[in-house]
Amino acid sequence: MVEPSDAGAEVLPPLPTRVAFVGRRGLFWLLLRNLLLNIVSLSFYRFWARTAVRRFYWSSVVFAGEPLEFTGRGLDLFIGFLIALAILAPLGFAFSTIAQMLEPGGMAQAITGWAYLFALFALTLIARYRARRYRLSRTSWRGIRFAVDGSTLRYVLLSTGWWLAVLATLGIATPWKRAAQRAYLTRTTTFGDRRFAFSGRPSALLLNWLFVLALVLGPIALVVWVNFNFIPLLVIQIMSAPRMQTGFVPLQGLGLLLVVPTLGLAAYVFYRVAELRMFTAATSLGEIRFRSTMVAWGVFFLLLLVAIAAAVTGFGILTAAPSMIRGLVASGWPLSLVLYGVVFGGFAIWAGILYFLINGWLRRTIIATYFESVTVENAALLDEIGQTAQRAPTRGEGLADSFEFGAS
Amino acid sequence: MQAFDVTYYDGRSAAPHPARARREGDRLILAAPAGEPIGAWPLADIRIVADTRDGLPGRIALGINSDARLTFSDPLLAVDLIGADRHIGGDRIGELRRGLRRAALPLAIAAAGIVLLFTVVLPMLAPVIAQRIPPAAEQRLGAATADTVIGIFARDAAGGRRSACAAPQGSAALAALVARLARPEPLPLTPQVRVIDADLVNAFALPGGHVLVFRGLLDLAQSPDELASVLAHEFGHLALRHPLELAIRQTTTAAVMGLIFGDVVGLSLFGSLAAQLVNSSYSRAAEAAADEAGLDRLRAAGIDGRAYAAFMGRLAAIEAQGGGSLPAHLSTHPPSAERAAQARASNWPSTPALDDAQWQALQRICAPPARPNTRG
Repeated sequence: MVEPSDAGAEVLPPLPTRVAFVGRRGLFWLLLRNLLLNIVSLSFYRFWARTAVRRFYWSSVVFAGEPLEFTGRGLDLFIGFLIALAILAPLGFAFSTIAQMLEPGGMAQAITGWAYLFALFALTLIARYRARRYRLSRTSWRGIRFAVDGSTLRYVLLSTGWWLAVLATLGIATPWKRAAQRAYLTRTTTFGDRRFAFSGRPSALLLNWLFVLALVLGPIALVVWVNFNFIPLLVIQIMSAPRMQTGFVPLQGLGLLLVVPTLGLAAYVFYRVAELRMFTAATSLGEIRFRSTMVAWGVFFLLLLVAIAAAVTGFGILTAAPSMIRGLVASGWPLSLVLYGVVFGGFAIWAGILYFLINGWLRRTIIATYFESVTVENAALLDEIGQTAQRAPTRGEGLADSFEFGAS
Repeated sequence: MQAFDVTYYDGRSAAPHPARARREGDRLILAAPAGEPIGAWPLADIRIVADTRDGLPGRIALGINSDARLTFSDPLLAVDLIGADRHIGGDRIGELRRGLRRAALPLAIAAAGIVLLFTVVLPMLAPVIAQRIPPAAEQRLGAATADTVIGIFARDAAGGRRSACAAPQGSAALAALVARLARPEPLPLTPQVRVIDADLVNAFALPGGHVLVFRGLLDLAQSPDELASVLAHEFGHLALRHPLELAIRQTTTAAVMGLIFGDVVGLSLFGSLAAQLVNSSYSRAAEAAADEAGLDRLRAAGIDGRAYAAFMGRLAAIEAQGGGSLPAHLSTHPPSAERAAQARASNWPSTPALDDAQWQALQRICAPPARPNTRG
């Protein structure tokens, strides 16, 4: 060993840089403001609301003292929505009209039905790809923009192929499918004049995924297999909740009803977090590499708490509703008004509680947990990155390549 | 003017450049720490992206549609720049105008499409689809809806759950009346008429041949003919498949509303509620058609059609007094003056819809079985 002091320090690579999530205040008030404006505007404010929330999150992710910047506008989303409406509504009606005109139960009707399903599937993929492209093209750090230059068609074809593989393997190929999609998305993304690379091995995720298959899809498949009427039955049960009080669900059934979903949730959360770690480690920008040390337990307990809160408040409201309806009708209120009032009011209370729990607490914590867990190697190289060759998104024209299609 | 320490990003590379910023008239002047100038921007072309908050530096965009940024940590910088010139932050009005121009065409197309959908496409499509729904599916839909309504309204004094009224003799009388009304012209699906023990004066037809009658309506009827006339009207709706058409219109409207109002939690329910408000009642034409079909059915069954006018007249009188809890829709609303006149004039050879014993039994269909009627 030679002198282990100063000389050694010089050849050591610089320490990885941490990404920070700044616990900024004001999310609650932002959500409240969005909610009220959404109500007043019959939900048409939602595009501007979503943009405001994005601006909050983007500006909370801080790297090397400088937060991300979201430069998108609510108007972009609104126009995207109008275009989506103009495409989706006629498509839906064209298909349903054609399906109605064909002989019921015939071959032609079945083919039309499948074609419609595939169109919806493809549109979902297109929407997701375009939404991501939109978000990244409106994201910058230190004035340098992200950009996406892949082809939507190739993404749809690739995804379709992998979906067929997933179906053929009864779901086992899912980690490879998701990694292949992520690889395409990552490799077609640039930051400034550098392109992201992706190299990861999804086989490490297989065990995690098998747990998900066994604990989530297994029970669902079993229930569907045992009783095809399960879902309509469930809907009727929920609609006439009082039946539950009179012991429709046997107690041992209730235990199973709680344990299986909890285990399923755990399996799913552990898979998604492991996948996120793998995807992060697989991503690189030249010599700049990323690592995540995210753990799943916190996210799992958080989700469990929110699910319990949703179930308890939902059940309470459902139990109280019929007697409230009867009481109000008995005291002379018009039936229709009471029905709408109680059903909508009860649901609004429930949805309101969930809105704040999910958006104000759950999402923020998950996003913060992830970004706080990320470190960047060779971050000093970021200074050398130049601006992207792609045209800057303009404000005023060029909507064809920029709109976010539908909801994200 | 005071100079502030800032970090300048030129928008061409991610490298930070330390700089000093100061305001000179209506321009922002940027210079390197040593003094050599970097650039100058009119204040009208710069925009404060973020203020200094939560320990983070503030950020300013330099130039319109430009990538160049400047970050600062002294909150006084923003104050100094804005100063008396409120126009900082770019050309808001112009931007709004450009935005509106950009949105105008998509907005017009989408709006025209939606108007067309609700006024032409949906009303045209609903009857076509209704004709093609398999009876089994209609049966399921109707049974689920009927069960829900009964689940909410059929209660004993303590609030416990009950099924529909089913005193044996009353049920037999009801079955006899239904059979007599159904005989002249068979309905698409076998009608299933049930009485719910609640005070509402109401009756309505559901998909799948279900008809629900509230006891309050039974109490208001003064003769079996009056009850028969209301049932005949509801059977008219069934014969014309109105309930299914309404359900289809509600579902499609809900789907479209969901599309328009977005998929945010709760808004799809909002959409379906809005859909029900839009399509909650039959059109006047549909009601008139059901009235006509009902009177035809009464004539064919040999039941006095004038009872319909009498019953609806009493109902209208109660409604006018503001009494009872009559919902504006879903239900038996009084027909137009023209229809009422037609009903009043419908004097054809007829016999009572039920005999006295049957009518008394039917009126007690909701009586608890523990107290059997002693009068027979």
